[in-house]
Amino acid sequence: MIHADPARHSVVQRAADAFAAYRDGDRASFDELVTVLTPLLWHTVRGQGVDQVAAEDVVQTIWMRLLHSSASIRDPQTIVQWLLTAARREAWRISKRTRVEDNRRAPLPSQEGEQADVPTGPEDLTDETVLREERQRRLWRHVQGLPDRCRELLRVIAFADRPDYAVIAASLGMPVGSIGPTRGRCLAKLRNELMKDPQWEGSES
Amino acid sequence: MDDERTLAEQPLDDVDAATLTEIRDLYDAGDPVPEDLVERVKFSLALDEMFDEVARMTRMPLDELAVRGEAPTRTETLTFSADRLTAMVTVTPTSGGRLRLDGWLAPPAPHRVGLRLQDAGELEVVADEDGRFSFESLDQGFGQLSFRPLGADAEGASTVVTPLFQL
Repeated sequence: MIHADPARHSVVQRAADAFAAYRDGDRASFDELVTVLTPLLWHTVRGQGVDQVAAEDVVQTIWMRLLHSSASIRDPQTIVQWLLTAARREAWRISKRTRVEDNRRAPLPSQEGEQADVPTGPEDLTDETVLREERQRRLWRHVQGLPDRCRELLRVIAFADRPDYAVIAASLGMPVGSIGPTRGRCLAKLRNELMKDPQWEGSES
Repeated sequence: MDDERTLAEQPLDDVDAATLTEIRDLYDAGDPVPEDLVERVKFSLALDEMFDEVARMTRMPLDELAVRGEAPTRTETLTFSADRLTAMVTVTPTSGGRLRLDGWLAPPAPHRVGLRLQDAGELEVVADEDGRFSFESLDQGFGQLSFRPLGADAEGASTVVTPLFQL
C-alpha cells in the first residue's frame, strides 16, 4: 500500500474520493474510508504513546465523531486532515493524563546499547520478540533515537504514499517542508544516523 | 549538522522510499493495527439510530494491575462523558462466565438505554429516575450504548451514543 503506482491513487486521494461518494449518498463508501484510513489513525494515536486498549478507543471515537460531523466537512479533500488532527488531539489528551498516572516507562536506551535486546524506547511494542532480525532491531533503535515529533511523523507517513506526505505532515502539526517534496529534517536525521552506523548496509544509493 | 541540512533539502529518493518501507514493516511486525479493528469500527458506525452526540470514553482502572495494562482485572469501570450527560458503567463477571453491566446516569433522569452487541443483537432497558440501569447475562464481546431521554422524539435529537467498547 505504498509508493508510486501511477495507475492507483494515493491514500489521501482514495480517502477523499470515498468521502465525496459517501456525501453523495453512497453509504458503503464510508466503509471504504474506514478501511483506507484506519492504519493511519492507529499509528498516529500509538505514536503519541497511547496504550493499545486506549488507542482502539480513540480510533473508534474519532470515526463516530466523523459520522456525526460529516455534513460539516465541506471539502472532501480535507478529510484526512480532519481525521488526523482529531486523532492526534484526542491521543494527546489521553497520553497527557496517562503520563501523570504512570511513570513506569524504562529510561531511554543508550546509543551504544546492548544489541541483544530490543530497547524499551518511548514506544512500546505489542510483542518485542517479533523483531528477530538484527536489521530490524537496529532500525528500531535508530527510529527510537529520533526526536518524538520525527518518530511520530515517519511512523505515519510510512503507511501513506509519497504525494500524501506534505498533507500528513501538516495534519500532524509539523511545519511546511517537514517532508515532501524534499526529504526534510526527520528523514535526513535518520538517514544520517544510518549512514554513520557501520553495521547498517544498504542506506547508500 | 550541515550534512543533515544538505540531506534535508534534497528531494526524496529511492533510498528514502526503501527506508520508509522498512519502517512500515517494522511497525507492521511490532505494533500492527489490531485484527478486526476495522470490522469493529464498521459495526459501530452501522447503527440505525440517529444521534446527536458521541460520548467520550474513559477507562477507570480499579487497581494497579489494570494501570499497568497487564492481566486486566475483570471488573472495569468506564465513564462516558457527553455534554448532556455522563454515564458510569461497571462490567462485572457473574457465574457461568457471563457478565453483568451496571450503569448510572448523571444527572439522573429516565432514559431508554440501548446496548448493541457485535455478535448478539440489540437490547434495551430503561434507566430509572435515579438514572440506574443494568444488563444481565451478557457474553464477552464488544458493545455500544445509546441513551435517549424518555419521551424524546424518535429523531434522535437528544440521543447520545458511545463508541464500541469491549465487554
